Amino acid sequence: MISALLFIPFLVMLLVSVPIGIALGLASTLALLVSGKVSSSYIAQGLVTSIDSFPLMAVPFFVLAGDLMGHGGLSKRLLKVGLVLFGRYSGGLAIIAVVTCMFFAAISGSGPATVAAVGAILMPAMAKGGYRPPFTGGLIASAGSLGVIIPPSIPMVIYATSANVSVTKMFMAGVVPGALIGIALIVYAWFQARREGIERSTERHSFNDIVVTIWEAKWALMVPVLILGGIYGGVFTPTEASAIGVIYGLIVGLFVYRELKFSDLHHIFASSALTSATIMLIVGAATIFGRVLAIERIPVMMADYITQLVSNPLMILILINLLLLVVGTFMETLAAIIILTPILLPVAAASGVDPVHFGIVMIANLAIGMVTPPVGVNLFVASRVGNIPLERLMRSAAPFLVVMLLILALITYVPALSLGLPALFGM
Amino acid sequence: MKFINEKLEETLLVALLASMTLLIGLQVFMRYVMEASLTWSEELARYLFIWATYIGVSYGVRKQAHIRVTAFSDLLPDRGQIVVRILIHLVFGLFAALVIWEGTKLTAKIYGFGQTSSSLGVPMAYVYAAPVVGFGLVVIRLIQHIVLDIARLSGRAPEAEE
Amino acid sequence: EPELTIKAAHAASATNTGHLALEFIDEQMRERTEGRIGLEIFPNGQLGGERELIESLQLGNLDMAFVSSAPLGSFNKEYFALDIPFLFKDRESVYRVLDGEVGQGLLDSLERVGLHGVGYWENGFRQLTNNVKPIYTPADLEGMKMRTMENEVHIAAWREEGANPAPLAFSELFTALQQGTFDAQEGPINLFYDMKFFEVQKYITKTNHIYSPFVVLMNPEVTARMSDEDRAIFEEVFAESKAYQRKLAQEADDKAEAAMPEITFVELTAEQQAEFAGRMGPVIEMVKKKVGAEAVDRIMAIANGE
Ligand code: NA
Ligand code: NA
Repeated sequence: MISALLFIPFLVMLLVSVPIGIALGLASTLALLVSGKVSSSYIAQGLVTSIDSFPLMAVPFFVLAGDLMGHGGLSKRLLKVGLVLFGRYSGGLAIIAVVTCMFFAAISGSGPATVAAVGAILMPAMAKGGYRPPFTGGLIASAGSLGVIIPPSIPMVIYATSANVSVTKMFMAGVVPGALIGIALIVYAWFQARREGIERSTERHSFNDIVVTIWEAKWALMVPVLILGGIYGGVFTPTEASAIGVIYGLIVGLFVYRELKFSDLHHIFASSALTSATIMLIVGAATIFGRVLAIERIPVMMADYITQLVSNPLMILILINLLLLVVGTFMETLAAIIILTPILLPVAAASGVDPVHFGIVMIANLAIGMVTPPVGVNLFVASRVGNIPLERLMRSAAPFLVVMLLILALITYVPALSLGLPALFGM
Repeated sequence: MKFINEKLEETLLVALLASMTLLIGLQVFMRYVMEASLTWSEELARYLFIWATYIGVSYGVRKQAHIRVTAFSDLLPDRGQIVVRILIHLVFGLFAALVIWEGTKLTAKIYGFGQTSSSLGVPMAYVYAAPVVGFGLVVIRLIQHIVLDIARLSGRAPEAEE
Repeated sequence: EPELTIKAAHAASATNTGHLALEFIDEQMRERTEGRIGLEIFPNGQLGGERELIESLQLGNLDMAFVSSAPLGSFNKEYFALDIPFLFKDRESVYRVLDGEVGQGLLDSLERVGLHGVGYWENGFRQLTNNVKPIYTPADLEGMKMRTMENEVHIAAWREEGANPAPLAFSELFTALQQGTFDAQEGPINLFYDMKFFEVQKYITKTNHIYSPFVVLMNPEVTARMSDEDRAIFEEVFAESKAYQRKLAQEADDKAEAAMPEITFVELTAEQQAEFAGRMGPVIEMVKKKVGAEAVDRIMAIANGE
C-alpha cells in the first residue's frame, strides 16, 4: 500500500516531466501523510540534513575545477597530448576517458564526483574530437561508477563495518572487478567508435613533436600529480583535493596560460553552482525517499520475501542481484548498504558465499544502480555537465549498462576474481 | 529591482561558491603548512554549500535547468507543451509551498529550542532557513514563468525559451 | 501489534551494546505489559546522525534515541560540563555524578529544549590512538594531525595538549587515517574495534580522558501518553537495562582489547596522566564560561568524591 503510494505517483510525475527531485519529494510527502508514522516536517528537515555532508561538496568543486580547466586552456593541452599519443588509434579518446575515470575512481571514492571531474574536462574535448555527446556521456557516467568499486571507497568502508570484514581486504578485493569493468567498457567503446567511424588522425608525429606537446602541457599534466600526490601523501582528503583543484585551475588559467579572464569567472562560477544545485536537489530528495522506504521497512520486506522464496544458492544470488539493482535504482548507496547488509549477508553466508565476495557483488550492483534510470545519479551529473537531454543519454548508456551487467554476472559467479588478490597477500 | 530580477541568485551563488573554495583551501593550508588547523572552516563551508544549493534551486527554475525526463512531453504539439509546462510549474509550486510551510515552522521551532552549530556556535535555525528562502525565490520564479506561458498561450508573447 | 509502538533510533551498529539494550527494553516491555507496549528499532543512523536524531525527538518525528553526550552540548550548554577532560578517575566517580543529583539535574534541564532525558548508559572511556609512535606525554603528541569530534571543548583540549586537532566527517575517517591525512584520533576502544581502525592505527594510549555516556532520550509526548502504571513499568525496565548495558559495554571494551593483539597499548603512570590533565586549566575555564563556574566546581567536587 505505502510502497504503491511511493512508487506510482513518483513514476507518473516522472513521465509528465516533473523535475526528478520534486517528484521524489512529493511522493515521499504523500507516503508520509498516509502512513502517519512521521510528520511531513521530516521533508523540511531532510532537505537540510541529507546534504549536510562534507564529501558531497566534491561535486560542485570538481564541476568547477573542470570548467575552469576548460576555459583556462588546461583541457585543450591535455587533449593535445592525448591526440599526439593515441590519436592514431580508433577510440583513443574514449580509452583515455575510461582510464581517467579509473584514476579518479581510485581517489574520489564517489561515483558522481568522478563523473563531475572527468566529464567537465573531457566531454567538451571529446565532442571536438568527433564523438557524439550522448555516447561520451554514457561512457563517462558508466565508467564513473567505478568510483566506488576501485579503492578507496566510502561504501566499502561502510560495508566492511556492517559486515564485520576487513576494510583493507575489501579494498583489495575491489581492484580486479573494478579493472575488469574498466577493460570491458574500453573494449565496447573501442568497438563502437570504430563502428561509428570516428575519424582517427592520419598525422604522424615525430618524437620531437611529442616532447614539445607534452612540455607545453606540463602545467595541465601536473593536475593528476598534484591531486594524487596530495591525497596519497596525506596532505589533503579527497574532498579537499577537489577544492585544491579549483584553486590550481584558477592560478594556471589566470596567470600561467592567461587564457582565463577575470570577467569569465562570474559566469563560470554561477554555472557550476547551478549544475551542483540541480544535482543536490535530487540527492537530497532521494535521501528522503530512501528514509521513507526505511521507515516503512520496504527493503526489509522485499529481502525477506526473496530469501523465503528459494534456497538454492545460485538462485539466491540471482535474486539478490535483481533486488539490489532495483534498490540501487531508488536508494542512495550508503543507505542501501546499511539497511540491506544485515538482512542479506546472513542468507548469502548460509549458502556458502564469502562475506568479502558478497560485499563486492553488493557494491558493484549498487554502483550499476547509479547508471540505471529512473534515478541514476551519474546520469544526472553527465546530463548536466555535458548539457545532454536525459533520455538521449539513457539510450546511449544502455549498451554500457549491458556490458557492466555481464561483468557483474562474471564477478558474482567467479568468487576468485574478488578473493584472489587478497589471498595472494595472505589475507 | 532589475538587479534582483536578473542577477540576485547568480551573484549570491558566485559569492557562496567562491567562499567555499577559499575556506577549504585555507583549511588545508592551515593544517598542513601552518600546523594550526582551523576548526570552523569545514562547518562554515558546509553550511554555505546548503545555502548555495537552495539558492541554486531557484536559479535552476529561472534557467529552466532542473533535471527531468522530457521524452513524452516532447511528443505533444506546441500548445500542449505549454499547458503541460504550466501544470509542472504548479506541481513544483505545490512542493515549494510545502517546503516553505513546513520549513518555516521547523526553523521557528529550532530557533526556539536554541540549538547552535558545533564549531561556530551560530543558531542552527540560520541553516534551516536555507530551503525556506530558496523555495520562496522558487515561487517568484515560477509565477514569472506561468505568467509568461499564459501570455504565450494567448499569443501575446514570443515562443522563445531561455 | 502493540497499542503503543515506540519508534527508537540510534546511529551505532546493530551489534552495539546500546542496540542490545534497546532490544532488552522491547522484550521486557512486551512481556510485562502483555504486549501493549513495544519498541521498533532503527539502527545504523538509518533515520539520521545523532544531531538529527535529537532534532527529530524535539520535532515529534521520533520517540526514543540514545546519543553520545558530545552533540548534546549544541542543544543544551550544560552538557559541556561532561566534556571536561580528566573529570573522572574511574567508573565509581562517573556513577557518583551521573546517577546522582547532578546527572538527574542535567536530564531535567533537557525538558526546556523539548526533550525528556531518561538516563545514562555507557559509551565508554575515550582513549587516544595514533599511527606514529607510542604516546606517553603531551610532548609525544606535539604537532600531530588529529581528528576530533566537532565539539569546541574537545578541540580546545587537544590543542592545549599540543596536537594539531581538526574535525572531520566520521565516514571519511578510515581513509584519512589510512592515507595519513590524520595521524591520530580519539574515542572508545570498542568503537575503534568496530570501525576497523586497528587496520590503520598502531598505538592506543589509555588516557581515559573523557567518559562518554550514551544519553537515552525520549519525546516528552510519548511518556505523557503512557498510563501511570505503564510508566512505572518502563522506569523499572529502564533501570534494569542500565545495569545490563553497562556490564555489556565494559565487557565489549575488554573483548575489543583482547581481539587486537597487533595493537600496542600504552598504560600511563600517575605522573604521565597528571601531565596530560595538568594542561587542562584553560579548557576548564572555557567550560566555566559556558555553563557557569559554580556548576563546574560542584561537578568536579562530586567527581573527586569531595
Ligand atoms: Na574509489
Ligand atoms: Na539507478
